[in-house]
Amino acid sequence: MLLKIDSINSYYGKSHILYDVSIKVDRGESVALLGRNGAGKTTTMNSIIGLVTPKSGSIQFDGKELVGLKPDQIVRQGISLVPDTRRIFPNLTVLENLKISERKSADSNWTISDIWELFPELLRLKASRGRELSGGEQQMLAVARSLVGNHKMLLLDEPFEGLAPIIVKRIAKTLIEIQKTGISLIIVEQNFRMALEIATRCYVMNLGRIAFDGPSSAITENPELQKKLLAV
Amino acid sequence: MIVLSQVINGLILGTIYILMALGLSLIRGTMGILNFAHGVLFTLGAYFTVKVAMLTNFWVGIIIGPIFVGLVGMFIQRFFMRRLQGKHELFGLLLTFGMAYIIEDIIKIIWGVGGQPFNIPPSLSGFVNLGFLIYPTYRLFILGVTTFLLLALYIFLNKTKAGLIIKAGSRDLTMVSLLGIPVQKVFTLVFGLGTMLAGIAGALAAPMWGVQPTMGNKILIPCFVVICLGGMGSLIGAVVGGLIIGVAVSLAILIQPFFSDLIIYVIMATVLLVRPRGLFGEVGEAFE
Ligand SMILES: Nc1ncnc2c1ncn2[C@@H]1O[C@H](COP(=O)(O)OP(=O)(O)OP(=O)(O)O)[C@@H](O)[C@H]1O
Ligand SMILES: [Mg+2]
Repeated sequence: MLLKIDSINSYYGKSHILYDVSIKVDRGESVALLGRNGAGKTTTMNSIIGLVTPKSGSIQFDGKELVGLKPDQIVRQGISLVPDTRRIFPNLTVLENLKISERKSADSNWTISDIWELFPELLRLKASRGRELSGGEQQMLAVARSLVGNHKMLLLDEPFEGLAPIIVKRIAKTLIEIQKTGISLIIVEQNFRMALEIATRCYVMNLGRIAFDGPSSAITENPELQKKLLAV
Repeated sequence: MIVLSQVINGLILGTIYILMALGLSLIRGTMGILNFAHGVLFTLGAYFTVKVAMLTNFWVGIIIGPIFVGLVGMFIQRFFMRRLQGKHELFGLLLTFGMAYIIEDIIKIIWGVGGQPFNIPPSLSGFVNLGFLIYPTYRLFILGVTTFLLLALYIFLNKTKAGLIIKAGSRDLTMVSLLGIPVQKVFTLVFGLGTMLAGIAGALAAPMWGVQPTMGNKILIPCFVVICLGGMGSLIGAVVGGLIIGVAVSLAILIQPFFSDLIIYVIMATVLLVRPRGLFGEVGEAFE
């Protein structure tokens, strides 16, 4: 077991957002976290990475307790968040964005030249500033930044949102390749079809709770469940 | 001729403002606070340099003195400012305000309220014939040192990983921490670097202005003006702003000494009315 979230409760100020959320991810596994707008998916990601500190419950990553650690300490355990807003540094070039994200580890050895192979368009844009990139290019760079950090697990918050279908396919293909190298993924999506093509297992959140968990096929083959848990 | 030499004096004064403004701007861009202790750290730079120079020589003094100031800055950040983590930025500002008084008093206790003698080496104490003007060698030395430092700072910020992290942090500190980089360590580095720049300015100004405990008190306000004029967080803005204010102050003295205080506000108000973000300020206001 690489990640074991056990019954966490998280708050924004006084408002209780997550209720007893539990999620498990094995080494090398890809899991989707689905749910409607406002279900608590981003808050779950923020709780794992330390931007929100759960008031109760535990989060074990690779045998180590994360609750109470600061985000930079958590990231150094080998887990990385690709945020929903991507957060590319606008005043740095593509290359500089990658350079400051590089981190050596025993878990994998992604280098910047591997990134140029994976996303040739980023190589062409290597001297462009972050602020000059399109949404798709920013998303590729955001994923690339996490890759050169050589983590055990990537948390991807809505990696396909707002992207053209052709770019969605590119990113999805890349995520499958990444997973094959042994990196675990949690893919947060409202658009469940693409996420379930990558993930073998999924959790569905509703009103801050885990409302369903099971194999991806349980959702793809069950229109009734889709309607109940995911329809807008 | 006197006007020309006053313009050059103004440029030299401007370089002192630039070093101060860059430090202030770096600290503000990364940590979000105006460092009110910056003026007294300028003074401390002069004192450290004088004292180290007495024990060794001028050249060792002018290198080691500012480094000591940077270490003092890192100490202040590490052991005092870090305790305010998560609190409102106003507390950080108040802390630097208090530090300014404390350090000034410490200087008075250790070295007394009187001035300190500071002699520059013979190689810098003469005059240089520029063809159109005979000008003090030491002032040209300041111009040379500052130019070199500006280039070095530019290279540091743009070509080293630490520099790029500082630039990134001026835009999005949370994302920096999400890369696994400890933000508080970045703060210590930035505060050390910024205060070292103040120390260098103090060390360079010492032979011209005289070394006494209050020498840095009047420099802070013009430097705030330089930052507003040049544009918050802009390196080039601090350089151009510093030179404009330096020259304006020098020329105003020719006409009427008290104009020199007035003119900087007039220039700032005029520019800000036309261009509220300053000459080179980005709308986003962060370090570039
Ligand atoms: N900073 C905040 N302060 C207070 N409440 C917040 C904050 N961020 C989110 N919330 C609330 O927390 C709840 C869960 O939000 P969250 O962003 O985790 O949902 P989500 O599943 O990621 O939704 P989306 O699909 O829109 O991204 C929502 O009701 C939202 O209004
Ligand atoms: Mg979300």
